[in-house]
Amino acid sequence: MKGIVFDIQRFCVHDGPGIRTTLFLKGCPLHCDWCCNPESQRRFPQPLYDEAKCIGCGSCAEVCTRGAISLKPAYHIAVKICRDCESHACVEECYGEALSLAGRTYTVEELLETVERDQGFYQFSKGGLTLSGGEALMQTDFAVELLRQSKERGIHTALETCSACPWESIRRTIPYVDVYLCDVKHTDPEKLKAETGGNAEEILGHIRKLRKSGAYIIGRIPVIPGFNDKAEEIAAIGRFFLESDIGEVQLLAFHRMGEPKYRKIFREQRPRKRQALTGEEMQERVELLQALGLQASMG
Amino acid sequence: MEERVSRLRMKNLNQQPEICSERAVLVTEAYEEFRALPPPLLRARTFEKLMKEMTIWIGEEELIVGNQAEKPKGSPLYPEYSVDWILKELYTFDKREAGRYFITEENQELLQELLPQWQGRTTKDRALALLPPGAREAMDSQAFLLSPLSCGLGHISVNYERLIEYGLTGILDEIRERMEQCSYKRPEDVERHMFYESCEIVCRGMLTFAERFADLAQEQSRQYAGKRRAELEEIARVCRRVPRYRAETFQEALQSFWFLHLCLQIDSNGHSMSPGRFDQYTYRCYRQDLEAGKNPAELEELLGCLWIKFAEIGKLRDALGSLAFGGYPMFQNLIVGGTDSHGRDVTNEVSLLCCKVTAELKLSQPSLSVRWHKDCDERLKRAAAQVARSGIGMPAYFNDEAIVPILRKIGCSQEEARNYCEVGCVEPHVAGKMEGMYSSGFTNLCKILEITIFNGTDPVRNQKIGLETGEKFEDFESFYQAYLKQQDYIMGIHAASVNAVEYAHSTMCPTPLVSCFVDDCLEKGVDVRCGGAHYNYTSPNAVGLANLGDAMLAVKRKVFEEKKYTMDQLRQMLLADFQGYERERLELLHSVPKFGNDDPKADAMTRRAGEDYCRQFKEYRGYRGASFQPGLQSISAHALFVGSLGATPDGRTRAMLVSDGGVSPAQGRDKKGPTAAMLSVAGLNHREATNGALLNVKFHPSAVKGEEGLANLCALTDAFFRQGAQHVQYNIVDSETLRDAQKHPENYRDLVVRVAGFSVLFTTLDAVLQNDIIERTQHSGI
Repeated sequence: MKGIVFDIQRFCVHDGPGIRTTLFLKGCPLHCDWCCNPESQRRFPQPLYDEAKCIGCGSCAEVCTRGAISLKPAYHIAVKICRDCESHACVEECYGEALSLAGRTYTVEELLETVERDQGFYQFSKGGLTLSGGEALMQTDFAVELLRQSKERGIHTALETCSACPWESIRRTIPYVDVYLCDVKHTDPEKLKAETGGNAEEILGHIRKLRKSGAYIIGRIPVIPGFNDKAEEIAAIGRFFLESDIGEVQLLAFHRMGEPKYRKIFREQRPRKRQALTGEEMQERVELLQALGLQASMG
Repeated sequence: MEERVSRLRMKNLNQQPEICSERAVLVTEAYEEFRALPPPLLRARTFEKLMKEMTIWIGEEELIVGNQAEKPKGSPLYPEYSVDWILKELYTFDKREAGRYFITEENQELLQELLPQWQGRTTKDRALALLPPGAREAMDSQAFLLSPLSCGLGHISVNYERLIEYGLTGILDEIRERMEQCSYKRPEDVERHMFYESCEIVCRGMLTFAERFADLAQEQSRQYAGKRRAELEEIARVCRRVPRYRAETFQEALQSFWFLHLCLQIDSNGHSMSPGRFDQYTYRCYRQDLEAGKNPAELEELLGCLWIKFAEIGKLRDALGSLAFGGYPMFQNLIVGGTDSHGRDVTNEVSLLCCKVTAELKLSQPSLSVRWHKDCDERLKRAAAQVARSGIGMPAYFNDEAIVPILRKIGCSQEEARNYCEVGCVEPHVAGKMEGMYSSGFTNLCKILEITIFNGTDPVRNQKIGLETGEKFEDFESFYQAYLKQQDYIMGIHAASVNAVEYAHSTMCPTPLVSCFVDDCLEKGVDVRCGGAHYNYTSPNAVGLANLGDAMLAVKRKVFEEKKYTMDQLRQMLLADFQGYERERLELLHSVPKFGNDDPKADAMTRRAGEDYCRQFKEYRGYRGASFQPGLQSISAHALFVGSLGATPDGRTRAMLVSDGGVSPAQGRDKKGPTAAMLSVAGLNHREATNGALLNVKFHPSAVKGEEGLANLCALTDAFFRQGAQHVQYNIVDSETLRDAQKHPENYRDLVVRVAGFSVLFTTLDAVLQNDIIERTQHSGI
């Protein structure tokens, strides 16, 4: 079975216990304004362009049989033209690595071969495989197969999900996932809809249901300036976790590491109007959740 | 940290390294006074004179006493080994960027007067006179680096335990007995007797030295009332007791150890005098003190005081040496943990205390190492991880399961191998049994590659230094074989040069003091420099292995398999330093897999090159009947080759450094994180690298924060070592901190970083090494 993965990161120490390898599956049902992996959102592979590394040799345009690349007036790739390209010759030909490909097709076996390379590190650290995205469950069959075979090979599994997908997709993973990392971005349906396109009722409902099935869930809250960073907003999410019988919550600090990526895919990112919380303010939010009775920490 | 130790520490950090001329004066006098004596006795009498006449002091609040120079961090001079560079640089020592030493005008004048008479009479002069043909040319091109040319050889861990357990009286008894057995019916006993005499003189010299400290402490005590008076009286008592007799208290054990350790460095200025398994031979006294009801905090304070003394030892190096060994490192390798001869873990309270004191003091000396094995005490693992996280690049982790078999392979018994320690950076050693000649220099692998491409000629200097192995090659294999021929040729010259250095030292500067503490010198009646040790090795090292492997694979792919470029075209690009060939450079750099990414092809090539290096060098035999035991550790010698090495086919331009450490991937090329890099490194043939294989891994602090971070650090080490690797060390510091330290050195006086096999204060490094440390791959944990 094949699927599209846009990144494989070894030695991940923040997404689940121990030392892990995280596979980032491409495609996402949401379109969060602050997304730090904008190249993850579309389903199909797409080239990323890094101007700083480009030596202007033009080889990419030469080898593109579809004429999707224009060098002037500014470097541009017409993503719509190349969306179903299978050769990616432009990327292969770019020795400077100014072009890289977000999204390559892999078989389950290929990926697990890489994942298994670090088996020794998982054993000693109690780590394993994490599926992330995008939203891993956009490729449900592929994700389930990865998880199933990992368990077969004795690898600990974690699934990071936004839960904005059919319940059936989530349900199918239950036998093969040791720990779920479930994002909740907001409890207010309108706000959530406006900035992410997600359906709060569906998302929260899925998480409750998943927990009731006996799954081990770690709750996660990405703290976004001007969206959900007010104390009462964080508290509302905290109460949801508490009521759902989810005791462990991680707050993820806002960062701007994704910003350059928007330029790389020729998109513009709407700047956030508000400043990110300071370290101290983040600590206050952690304490607020702890006061509610949650085992909260900075992720 | 005890307040006293904290104050001593600040004093040490603020102390400026300074050149001390006293030793040079005394040695010059001694060589005049004793000029009739043959070398062993001349050396012994010279040492004795130093012991009797050098200035001694006891610093305020000190508990462990004994000084190397007139001031703390002062560096004495050793004119008997070389003077040419001192004279040349006399007026620039206090102006250079790295390894700066203050010097007074009086001393400049005095040395200008004194040192010229040594010219032509030093070990360096003799070694140079004995160099084989071709050596000068190869050394000018830096095909290899003859690092031991200018100083004492150092690099040993002696049997400190013998001193602590038996005292000098025990050793003197043995010397006397053996001397009496000498018979003038045997011609060889003339020299043996002379050797025993020299041993006796140095031991007596050390006793005098200790007595002087006892007298001084006694005298000083009179100025005080109360606590300091009692302390000084105790120091006086201790110095009258040790090193003469067996130590009975922890303070006696530390003081006895320190006298010997210090005297070894006063006698000869080789660095890497290594304490070895310190936690084992001091433990009896620690235990006795505890049982006698002493307060553990006081014992910890004593250890802290000793750590400060380690940081006072200084060694003046020439300008080039200061670049290679930036930051005043002394490589005093002190190892804790490990097993007994049955393989049982022997971690004790002193092992843990050594970790604690090292993490708290954050000094660059001693170099703390930890032995790791599958039943390693969890408390030690945790304590070691905490030291690592303190960001000082220590400890160095060593894998018993890799190193014990290596020592077995080179001839040690199981018992000896399990008692191993490390010398300098990562040289496996059995204390008091071996002379490994670990400062046998460095091979510049990429220079050998360069002359293979250019038919025996160094293109940078346009000088023929190698063999003519041709310009055209049928296939990759014949190119690789040509490389091996060049490598063997350079190794031959290198080996003969090391032997010349050793010959000069054995005939001019034998080391009776070291010999008293290394088996079987006393038994055989032969100095350690002349082959008295039970085990004798010569141990050269390779620099730039990752670049060599990467470049070989690039040549194989692009020239021979894809036939994209001819050898002529490649030569053109390299000669042009890739100017006008940027796309080609990037192709060589990025379209061919690189070592350090857990890629089987790239890793296999580097493994092959490393194996061949070790295998070829083992064919040579050294002075003292030693076999050559090569290692894959470059320390920071890689920084030296900038400028003398041209561009290489791995896409490296002339201005870029070759890989650091020894087996670390080339800078910035390990893109798949530390686990992949570690698997690549573990895939090398560690059994062949009998003189050690060194890996630096650099982390951002975020990767190791919290309890989980400590656990992950231990897990990384466990998993890496399970694969058979020898060594790893972690540098945990963020690049922003380092950049800020470059801009505001004044705020970072105590920032210690790991350079390679050693840690130094970051701000004392020169800009090239500073930038190199910042640029080395930094794994942040994703």
